[in-house]
Amino acid sequence: MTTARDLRDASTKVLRDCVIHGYPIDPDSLAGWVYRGTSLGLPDVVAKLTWKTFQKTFHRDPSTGKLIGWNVRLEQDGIDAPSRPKTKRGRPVTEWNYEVISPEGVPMPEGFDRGLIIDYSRAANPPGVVRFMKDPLVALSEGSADELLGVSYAVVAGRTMETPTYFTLEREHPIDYVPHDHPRGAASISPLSLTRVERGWAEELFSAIVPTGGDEGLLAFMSADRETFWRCFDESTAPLVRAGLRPMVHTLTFLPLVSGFRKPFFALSEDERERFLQHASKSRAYFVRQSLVTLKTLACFAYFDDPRVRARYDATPPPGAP
Amino acid sequence: MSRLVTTDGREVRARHSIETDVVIVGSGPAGATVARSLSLAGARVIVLEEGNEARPEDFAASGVRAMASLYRDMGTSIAFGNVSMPYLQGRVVGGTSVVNGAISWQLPKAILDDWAAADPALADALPYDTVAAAEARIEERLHVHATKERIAGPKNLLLARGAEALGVAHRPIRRNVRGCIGEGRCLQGCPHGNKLSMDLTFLPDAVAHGARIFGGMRVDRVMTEKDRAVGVSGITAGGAPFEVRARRAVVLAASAIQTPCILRRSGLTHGPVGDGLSAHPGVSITGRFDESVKSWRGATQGHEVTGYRGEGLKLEALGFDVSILASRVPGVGRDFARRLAELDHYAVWGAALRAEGRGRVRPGPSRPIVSYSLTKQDVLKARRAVRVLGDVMLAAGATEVYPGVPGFDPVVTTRARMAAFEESGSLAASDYAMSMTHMFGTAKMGSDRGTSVVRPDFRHHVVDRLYVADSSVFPGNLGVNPQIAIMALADVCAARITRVD
Repeated sequence: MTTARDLRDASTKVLRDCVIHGYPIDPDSLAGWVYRGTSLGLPDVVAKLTWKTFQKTFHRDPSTGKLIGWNVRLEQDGIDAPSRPKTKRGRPVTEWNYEVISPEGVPMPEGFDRGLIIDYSRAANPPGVVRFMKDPLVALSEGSADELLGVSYAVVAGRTMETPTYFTLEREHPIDYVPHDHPRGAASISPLSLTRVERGWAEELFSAIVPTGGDEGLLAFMSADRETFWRCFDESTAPLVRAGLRPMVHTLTFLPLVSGFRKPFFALSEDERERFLQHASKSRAYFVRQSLVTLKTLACFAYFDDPRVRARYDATPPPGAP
Repeated sequence: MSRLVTTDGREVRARHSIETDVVIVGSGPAGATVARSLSLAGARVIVLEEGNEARPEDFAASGVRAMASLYRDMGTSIAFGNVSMPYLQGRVVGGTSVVNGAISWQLPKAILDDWAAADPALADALPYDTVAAAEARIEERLHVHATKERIAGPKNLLLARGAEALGVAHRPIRRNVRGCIGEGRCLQGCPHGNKLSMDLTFLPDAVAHGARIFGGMRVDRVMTEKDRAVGVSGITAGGAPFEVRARRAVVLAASAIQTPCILRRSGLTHGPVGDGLSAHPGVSITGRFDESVKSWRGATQGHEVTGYRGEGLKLEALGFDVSILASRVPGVGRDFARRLAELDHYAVWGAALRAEGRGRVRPGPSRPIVSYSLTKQDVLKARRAVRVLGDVMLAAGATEVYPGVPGFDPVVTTRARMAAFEESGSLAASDYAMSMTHMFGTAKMGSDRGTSVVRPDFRHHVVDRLYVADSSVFPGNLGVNPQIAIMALADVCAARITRVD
């Protein structure tokens, strides 16, 4: 039985043979897992300029049922060092979004149809090479998806072009982070959705409307996981509602400028925020009141999605409860 | 548990074409009923559902996740008018029956009599005995029974206590559940399969008799040839166009919002299609009790006050996920955070209004455009509803109630102030936070081709072999929860289709 470790120094020919003679993969056995990836077959200089290790994820999108995923950039601590994701603003850096599909009907070099296809063209990726790439993926052992082997090839104008880029994947741990702009999310994010800056303003408002984390003993709003909420909101709400959120956020963010505070909401102190919200809640302007009610509802949706908050209220029964 | 759908539209990425005897658009109470009846009668039936199949074991507890996966547009569909109201529709195999409160009411005879008085042809088409017999069969299959006290939970028992104290008629709600343990998750889909929704009852019955259920298939148009319906076309969730051709009948059962849009997109604009939308707008208020209520537990909607039905009001205890309950608790900022720490002391009760208001539905670029406005009489009714809800809450022992209507006391602690609210509370529709449930009347049934869309036998006035089986055909609203009535009329529709054959 060939293992991922056995293939670290294998030649391109051996790697290609392994792909052609690899074993099928049950897609359900991938779903929900993060795999540690190791690039193979690249000259050392190329590996040093790019990366030797990375992570690939496999996530069953609950709204479409599709198996999707994304790469996670790792700090290059060494081929045997523990995985340490690169982060930006406290979140793992993700890239190379994809959908995992069966090989039927996919143009590919002969013999690359043993397992599954990681298809980058079916996900939202920035313009460039990535959109032409596909990775056939096979299991190294029959009936086990713990160690996998993949290779990249490009499809341009219907023609396939193999590359020397091989990689192994080793099952690492269950998925612990789903980015807001994961493949389907990114594809469905329209100009109607808030930009990152606007979302930051919205969250400043949310955390002031629901300023938990004080004497009352509840989890602080900003400590709650809001990613699922934003993903659901961007993917599932009516376009009109998504479009309507922007003017609401802008109104409540900049209204303090002309309401005696002379600063936008995000620049207010905690006491000023409190005073502004009380003022807005009694506004004679329907739109201001309605904006506050809407943002309060969304803040509650976001806050109460966090399992720790739900557990505090005994609102999530344990699995298998009668 | 085996899957219901035989074809999952998410996986269909190439043009798809198929033939059958009867194609039914929509898998909610109306579509499932027609599918079951016709399958039992031996017809080859295909049911097309825009949503996907979801199994109880997959239902999320979190409000936002459940709404994202089971509701159309995550429950953010809005009807615009003198007050903007969200309306909720399930988008899943089984339709709204998967996410409703399981409330079961038979069609009141007085309503049928009103319909017959307005159009005598309906008396022949919908004899009370026939409708009642269908309801009895349906209720037996759905195990409809009164909510048991041991699973009702405090929010329902407090409503009973308040109504009793005021001497107003009330009763446990009859629901289509079996083995309910009062977990309060009906609106997120029962994770135990104890709510007998269509995906667990009528659709499996239909499948057992040969019907096929296609999920992830959005129907856009009815295909016609020489004034005869020959099938439907649309697009799969995988992005491929599809056609289902039907030799015997096309049945629209996609709801009073979607059905008129399909008709209009198909160029079938005969009659008042999309006009005459009626509904049960709902208003609710929040109250605080010294005792722990834990409103997210207990039968989701297990008790109702029927004593105001003569006024067009029906009061119900409401059970929500904690996220929605929290959003209904008054305040923002630090005061709100303090209230969240004692969220278990808050309850929300609602009133459904048998409103006079009318609206209309038109297909929009990507979503139906729904307009609906309350009449002055409806606003008076909403104000009255807030008052009586407050009364019952205070009589039940609430220490504070929050009418939530601008211009009046934010907190009320006495029935005298609630009475004052009915005298001086706002009469601006937009001052009331309302939501719309139970839509009807957008493809009305009647004998007059000019004022109705389908005939008394559910057939389209102009296009042969095209039937409408959902609440679009109802001439008006009912004042009670309509699931059983919708299913009973759909059963009558199925009998008509069988008879025509």
